[in-house]
Amino acid sequence: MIFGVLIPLGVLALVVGVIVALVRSREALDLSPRGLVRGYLYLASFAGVLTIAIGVGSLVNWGLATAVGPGLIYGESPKPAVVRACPPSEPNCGPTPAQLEQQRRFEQQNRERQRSEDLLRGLTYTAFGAAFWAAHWAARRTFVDEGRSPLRRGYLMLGTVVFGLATIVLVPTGLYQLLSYLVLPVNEGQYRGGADAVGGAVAVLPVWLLYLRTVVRELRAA
Amino acid sequence: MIPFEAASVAVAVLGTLAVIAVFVVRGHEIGWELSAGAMFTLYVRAAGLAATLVFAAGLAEILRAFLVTELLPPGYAPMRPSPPAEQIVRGATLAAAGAAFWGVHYLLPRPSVRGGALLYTAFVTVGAAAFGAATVATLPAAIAHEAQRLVGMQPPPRLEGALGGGIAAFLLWLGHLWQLRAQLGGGPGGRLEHTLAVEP
Repeated sequence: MIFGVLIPLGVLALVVGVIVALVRSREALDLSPRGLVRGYLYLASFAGVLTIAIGVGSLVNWGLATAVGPGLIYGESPKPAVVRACPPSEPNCGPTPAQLEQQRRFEQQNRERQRSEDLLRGLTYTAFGAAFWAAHWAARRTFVDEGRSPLRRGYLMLGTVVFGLATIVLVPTGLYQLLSYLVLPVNEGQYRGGADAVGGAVAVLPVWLLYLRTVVRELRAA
Repeated sequence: MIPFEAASVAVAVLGTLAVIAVFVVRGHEIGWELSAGAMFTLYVRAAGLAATLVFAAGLAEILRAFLVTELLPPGYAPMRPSPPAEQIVRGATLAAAGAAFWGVHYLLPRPSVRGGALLYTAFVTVGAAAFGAATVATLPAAIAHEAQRLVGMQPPPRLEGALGGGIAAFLLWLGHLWQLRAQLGGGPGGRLEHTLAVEP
């Protein structure tokens, strides 16, 4: 779920930001090679943070599924309802115990696969995002005189807006899914949805608070 | 019928983009600059509106749950299969998260920027438009639906629960109108007595 929230928000905010900068701050835009590289470094840093957040979200989902049970994150199929009695003329009318066992095994394998996918995605995205961000952060430190440049302010505001909106979507969704799983009774034969937004919520909330704190600190210092 | 949430979110998103566009293109006429403080103020306004939308969605869910179970005349069963407990949990979560998100932004330091009060009024107007559109799109049909049920007719099931969304939209619309009236100087106590958006 974190994919579907973060990526569209990031792209939309970036497009709006670029249009705003082009229309209003034309004089502040530095289109020299050095200025373009600075822009690229901030953009790549933001992409790195997005990638880390997606990876951490998947890792949190994997951790919860491992600690509590895969049903919490990926949902649970209904337990087989009472099998109706077969008439004497049709001894094999319903699912046999072997078929039910096979169905149960398939579902278990499917959840295990989802859990493994989350682990792999989490490790890959987190490691790649961290390396990508670190490389661009190091380049910014050596190549760019950060100070309080408009680019840095734009980068911090982009992060605050994107992760703030992602938080307002993912936190209530994840909380509701979690409470729904833990508190609400499930009728027999009813599918029990998983709390797959929890990982995303846990990942985006601290990033948003970090961006917000930095923005507020810089505003106070200005 | 357009659901309350879809109508309010669509109008709010379009309104926010329109406000940003107007301030970016014509803001210099009132001395508004694209400074760090102005960008932050813009963000706080947009986040306050987003929080209000989430709170409204939660309120609508809670109202739907109680209206379906409490206000039905004897002999009429709710047609929606989802149990009210699920709606109450969803509604309470959304309302609490929306209120918390709004509160965080309310407590943030707000830099004094030129045109800040106008920006605030613009976002209250966007909120009023969003909830007004949602009210118009939802409430009349929902009332007609309930009236049909009260007189014993079989109402269309697609409108089941629309009354909760309509009432939530109506309440927030009135709140925003009240705030607009106070902003424009006509209300008792002057501006910012009762705020739904984050104060400047």
